[in-house]
Amino acid sequence: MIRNYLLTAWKVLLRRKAFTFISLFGITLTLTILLVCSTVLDNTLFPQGPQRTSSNFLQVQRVKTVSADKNSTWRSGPGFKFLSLNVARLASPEKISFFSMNERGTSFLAGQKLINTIKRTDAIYWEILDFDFIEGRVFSKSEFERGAMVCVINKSTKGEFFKDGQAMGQRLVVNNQSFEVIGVVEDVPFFEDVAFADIWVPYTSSASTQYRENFMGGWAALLYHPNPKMLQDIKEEYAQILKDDLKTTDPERFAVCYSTADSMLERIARTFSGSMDEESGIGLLFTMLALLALGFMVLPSINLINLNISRILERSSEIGIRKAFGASSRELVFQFLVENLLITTLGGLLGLLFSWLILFQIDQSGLIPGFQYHISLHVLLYGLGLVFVFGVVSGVYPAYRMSKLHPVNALKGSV
Amino acid sequence: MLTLKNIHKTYQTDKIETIALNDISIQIEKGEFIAVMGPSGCGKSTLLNIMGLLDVPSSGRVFLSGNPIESYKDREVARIRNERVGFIFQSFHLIPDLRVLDNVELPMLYRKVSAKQRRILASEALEKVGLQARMDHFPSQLSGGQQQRVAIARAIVGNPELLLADEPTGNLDSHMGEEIMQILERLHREEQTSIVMVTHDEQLARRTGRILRMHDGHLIGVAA
Repeated sequence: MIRNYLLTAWKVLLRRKAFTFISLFGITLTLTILLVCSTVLDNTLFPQGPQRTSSNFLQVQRVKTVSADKNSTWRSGPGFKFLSLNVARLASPEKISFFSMNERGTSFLAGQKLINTIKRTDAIYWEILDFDFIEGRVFSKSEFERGAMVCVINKSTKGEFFKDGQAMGQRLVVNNQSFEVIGVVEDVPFFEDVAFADIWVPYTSSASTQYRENFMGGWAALLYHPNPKMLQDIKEEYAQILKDDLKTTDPERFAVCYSTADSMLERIARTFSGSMDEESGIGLLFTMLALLALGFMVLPSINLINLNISRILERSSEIGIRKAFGASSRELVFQFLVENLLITTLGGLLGLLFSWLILFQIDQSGLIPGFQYHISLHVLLYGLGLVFVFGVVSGVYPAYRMSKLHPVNALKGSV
Repeated sequence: MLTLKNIHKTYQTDKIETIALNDISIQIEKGEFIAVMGPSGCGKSTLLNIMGLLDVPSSGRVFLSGNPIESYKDREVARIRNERVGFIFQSFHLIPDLRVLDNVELPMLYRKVSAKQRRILASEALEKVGLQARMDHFPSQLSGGQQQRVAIARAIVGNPELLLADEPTGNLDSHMGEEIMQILERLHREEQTSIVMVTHDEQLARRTGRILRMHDGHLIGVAA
């Protein structure tokens, strides 16, 4: 039976080339855009780069302070002092790492000004994140403790400074500090912001130690545990410390501090919701994304519904014949849905192909360094899910209309 | 086998009510070959549609093997049409996108019959109308007479008790019309299929067992 339905559907598609083109164009365009967006989202939510260990760590990236007289609030990243006074005391994480927010690094090479992104980290940072090393190594604990002038750079930065030559053991000057290159890693996509930088140096190599005194601004922490189930304990301990045992440099100015230890997803959700309390707004984020995807699919769906209804008018005779020879309304609905799923699947496959080509082009163009262009299993499943939803949504109403045609009128073609 | 009692059928268009059938009562016995005659618009096709359960009367009752049709749900009526009735239309109504064999198979799609069995049955039906060699052709590649023979094969593939033919020779020349009539006569004779045929051709009508004459929705005469 399905073979007969598919055969009919295929013939109809070939016979009505304009209809087929318009339908396929709409479906393909919609799915291509959704798949490209999904891939970017997928790479953000399920990182393929150094943050692939994200299920094992939490981040402390935002702090809100309120003064004792409640007249002054301050929202920013935590300062090094805040982290060392409060986060460093946490007992439940197995590893704690502090690192600076990205700062601009300026270099001059053969009269050319080069701008790069620098991240200052400790040695534990490299144990928590899983960088792909092309050559060399991370800086050791002793190098970190003695403030060694060493750095790890990414592949693009190696190309900028050393072209195709040897980078290991060479020195590069950034912000008037000279570092020895001890490792080269693959580029990190910008949306893996905990790991993203061009040059990583020990924070102990800073020219000034002023950063150690700042209670607010410019720093972040990673809280790691090998067992993801323990992350909840870390969150609770952190909340407890801030509530009951906050250590502050200025009890008047920073009397109360609000901050949370967030998973990667929670932190992304907070970016949208602006929330600083326990509820990060993940539900809101997913609702927004789902509504966005749905909204994006509504217009092509209405278009396809209209096309399908006009197609029904053309095929009323066939519907009448099928009814005359015993097709029930339910069987006709099923037939039409199979037909519609065929065209949406074709559109879906074209959408996949175009998405792959676009992502490949983005990757080749270097527009987003370190971008993983391949469509993951997640995205493939989203894509297939979307194709199915699209096919059913745009097919159900026309199929219902078709199944309710009066057989005599359908045979006469007077519908 | 099929009984129509006091059938009325009216169509309401805007403010005009058209009476298509007016108090029609007929009994069709198993194995009968009946012709329905009358001028255009007298209600012949409407009568055939009601006999074939494609349409419902405005009033009156239809009994199939003694059971009133109005007691059946949509799915059950569809099943009865599939298993017990076959249709032949004046304009053939073949699906142009399907091969001859796929067209003939169509009624069997709605039965629990394997693909292989469907092929065999469709092939046998085509053999009965002498078109087995054309099973892989498309309708557009056949003459009018051949297309009507395919339509007959489709109507008989499920071995129905009742065959309803609405001017089956109306679109054909006399030679092809004669071929079709001979096939119908053979089906009636050899398979004891009940046939109700609407026709304008007095000669063809006389070859059936009974002629129902209609005028303005009334049954005005029955001739044996």
